[in-house]
Amino acid sequence: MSMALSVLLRNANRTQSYFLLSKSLSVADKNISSLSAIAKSRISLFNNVNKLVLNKNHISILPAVRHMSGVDHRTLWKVERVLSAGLVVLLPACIAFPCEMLDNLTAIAVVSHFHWGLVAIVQDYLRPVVVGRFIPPVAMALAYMITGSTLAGLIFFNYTDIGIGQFIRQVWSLKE
Amino acid sequence: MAKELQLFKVCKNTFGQIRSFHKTAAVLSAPKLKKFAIYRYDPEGTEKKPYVKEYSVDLNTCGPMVLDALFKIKNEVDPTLTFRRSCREGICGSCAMNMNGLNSLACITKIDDDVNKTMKIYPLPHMYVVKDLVPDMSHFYNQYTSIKPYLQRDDQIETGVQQYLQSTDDRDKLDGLYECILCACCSTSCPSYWWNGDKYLGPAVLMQAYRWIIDSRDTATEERLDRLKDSYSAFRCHTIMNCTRTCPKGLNPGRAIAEVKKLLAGFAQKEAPGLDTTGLHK
Repeated sequence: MSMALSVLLRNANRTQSYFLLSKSLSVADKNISSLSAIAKSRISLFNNVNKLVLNKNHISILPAVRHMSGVDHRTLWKVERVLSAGLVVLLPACIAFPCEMLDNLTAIAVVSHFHWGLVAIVQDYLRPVVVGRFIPPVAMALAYMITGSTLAGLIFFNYTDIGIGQFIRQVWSLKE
Repeated sequence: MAKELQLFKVCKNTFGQIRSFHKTAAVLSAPKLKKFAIYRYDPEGTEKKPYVKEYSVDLNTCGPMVLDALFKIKNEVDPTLTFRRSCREGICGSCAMNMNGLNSLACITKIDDDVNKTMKIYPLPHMYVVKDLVPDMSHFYNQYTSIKPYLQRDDQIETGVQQYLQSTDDRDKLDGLYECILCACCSTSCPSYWWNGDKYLGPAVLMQAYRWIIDSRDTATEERLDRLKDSYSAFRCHTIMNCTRTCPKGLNPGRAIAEVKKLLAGFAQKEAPGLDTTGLHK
């Protein structure tokens, strides 16, 4: 008997607060009829969340959602890794045996490597929550413009001038 | 000679005790006051904005770990100081916080003896703070739930009747993964998680994802990997390795994420189980 009483006393606060809260929720329900549709949905959402908090003993009131981008990134990641590893061979080869094909390959490989880094910088540092909705797409377009023009310039250089490999050799052989 | 050495060995502790007894007496005479600068925030209090409050603790009358100092402050100076703690021995992961710029567990982090330096104590970085040193872990736990951290099998065998078989080699693969206590020290030390925590799962959760992916008894490997294939969930890891550096349990989440990426890209494959998992059911 005394056991049951002590349990009842211990839980008194909890049961009381539950009643108080459900009372306030029902008041909110009654007032809904005089509100706009948006406010109604908001209140019902709030009530649902509150019930969730009561039922599941959650701490946070905001329902956390897991955001995922729908794009399959696996192939691109694989290409990035293969290309990065390939650069270790390609760069010395381009300097050792300068020719049109190796020069163009180097231009494409180096610029793509650079491009993915640039895109990652835009995605990581210019997030909409921090800089607003306007800047990120502009910055992304700028990143594509920079890499596009760099690639065009390098290929132009390969065809109309001495080419990347020969150029690095000349820098190496500069005297005074 | 050997006998003398033996004698010395037996008496060594006694000598040491006598020596340190004298030392303690000398040291105790002068209090060693160490300053602690602790982050305070109470959304329901009068001070709405977070601020840093300094406390002095005499190290001579305080235990060796940061948690001991926090207890001393709460018991003797300021009872409003709020922090999570439970096991006080690095098992539960409740007291994860940022001490002198490094995430770790307060219960296994030693107080720096240098009394000239103030020890700075903050909650885990880049988390919503509930009060003082208590961060809101809901999002972290929801992310953990999202990877389905439990055994999944595609057969319709009744559970609880027989054990699933696992070879010792397969079991060894789980070492260094299952020990994680989900204290969130690694995830909250990761810049990528700070920046894209809403979409990137973070080292702790990804390491647990890997733990279930490579479990020889689990058959949902493809489905698990499929849920990580987008450009944010796992691929936002830039191999910064803060996670491995900060892990208070000495685990290596960075390596686990690398293995997940290898499995995702097809550079590695999950090995077939060493033993027939349902061998005992037949």
